[in-house]
Amino acid sequence: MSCADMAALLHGMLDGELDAVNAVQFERHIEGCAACAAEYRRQKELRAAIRRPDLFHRAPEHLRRAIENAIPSGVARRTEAAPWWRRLFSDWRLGAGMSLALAASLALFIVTTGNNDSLQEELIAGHIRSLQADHLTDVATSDQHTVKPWFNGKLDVSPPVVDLADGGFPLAGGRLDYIDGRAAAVLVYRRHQHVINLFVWADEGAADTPPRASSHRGYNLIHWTRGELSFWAVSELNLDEMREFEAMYTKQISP
Amino acid sequence: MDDETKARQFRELALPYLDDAYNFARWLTHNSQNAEDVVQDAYMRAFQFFDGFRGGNPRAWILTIVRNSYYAWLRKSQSQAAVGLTAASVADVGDEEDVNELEMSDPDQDDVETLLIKRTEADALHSLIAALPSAFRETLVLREMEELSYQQIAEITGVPIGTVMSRLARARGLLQKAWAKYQEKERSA
Repeated sequence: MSCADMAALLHGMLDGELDAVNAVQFERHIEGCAACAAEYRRQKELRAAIRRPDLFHRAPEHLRRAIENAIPSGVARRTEAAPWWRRLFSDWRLGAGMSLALAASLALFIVTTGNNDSLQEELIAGHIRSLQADHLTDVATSDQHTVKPWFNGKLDVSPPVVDLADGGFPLAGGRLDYIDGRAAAVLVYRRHQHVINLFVWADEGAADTPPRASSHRGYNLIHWTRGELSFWAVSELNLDEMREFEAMYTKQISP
Repeated sequence: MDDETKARQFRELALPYLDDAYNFARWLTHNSQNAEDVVQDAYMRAFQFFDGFRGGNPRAWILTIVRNSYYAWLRKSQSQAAVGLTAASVADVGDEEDVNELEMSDPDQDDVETLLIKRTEADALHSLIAALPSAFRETLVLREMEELSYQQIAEITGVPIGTVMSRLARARGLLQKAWAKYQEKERSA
């Protein structure tokens, strides 16, 4: 391997992020290459310099006290500031309508206490399966008008399909999955490098329920029922963005 | 979970990372008062969303929220009157939108030389890191000072791991060059 290849490995080596094969390759190379060995040494010295304690800023004592004092009530008050929730929602780069929708979904946000554990397990297993090569979508397209008809005839339900690319959640496609002994439609959305699987199945006679968020084994789930359809969004994405996704999806499919 | 339990669990989980949160905010904002505002806001949000936190790395979780609070703060200070808006925060906004569009501020320039006059080694290194473009600075701080993995940095900053690696290499390259120049000057002085 060339020195240029080594440059790519150098930082991985320094950060302990190389696998054994590459690490051995790198070490062999610098045994015989003075230039790469010198660069590696320089970078190690630089690291030691950066990690000196006086470059790390410790929190001042008054900040620690202020935050500690604020925790029991759950609301840290700042003298001149607007209420925390108003600042929170004014900061989301969302229009007023979306802020309200988000506020509503947050107000109704309840963490489930584990009655659904085995179902959640199944949903997460489906999500993880989908992330393995080529399992993500059966119909891969960002065109909602292609995804929707694709489900017709395959299922007793036609899930509402909308592309949310404008809101930062582009539609990647759809597939079928089996959850809880029944076929479910899965809409696949992306958020940066993350994937959101939205499972949808018919739940006849079910009353609408507000979105409920829960977390399980490091994955986040949001569940809601609407128009006799049961929805489960599953992702490793953080809950803030999951809620944003749910609010946007629900708003888009509303008449 | 009742409020008291929640508050106790939050203390145990989140307060040990207050120094990390502050350090990260301080390097993002360049300023201790702004860093305090950002960290306070971040801890309020973290407490609010604590119900949603199950497992995972609490340090990475807190730092993600600090970063969100920082950008919220940045947008807010941007939308207010231009008065008092620092050059640094303007540069940071442009940088966040597209780092490639940004003309890289190479620390190996004349203005950095003046920065380095009559400073201790720590002060010198501090100004060199502070002068890095914000995407590079942020990645470097998360890696070297907060000691997060590539995967965690990728999640916090919302970019692919490959981007984390290239930003880290660029940050170290720029810093190394400027640092060598400083050391050379010290030796000849």
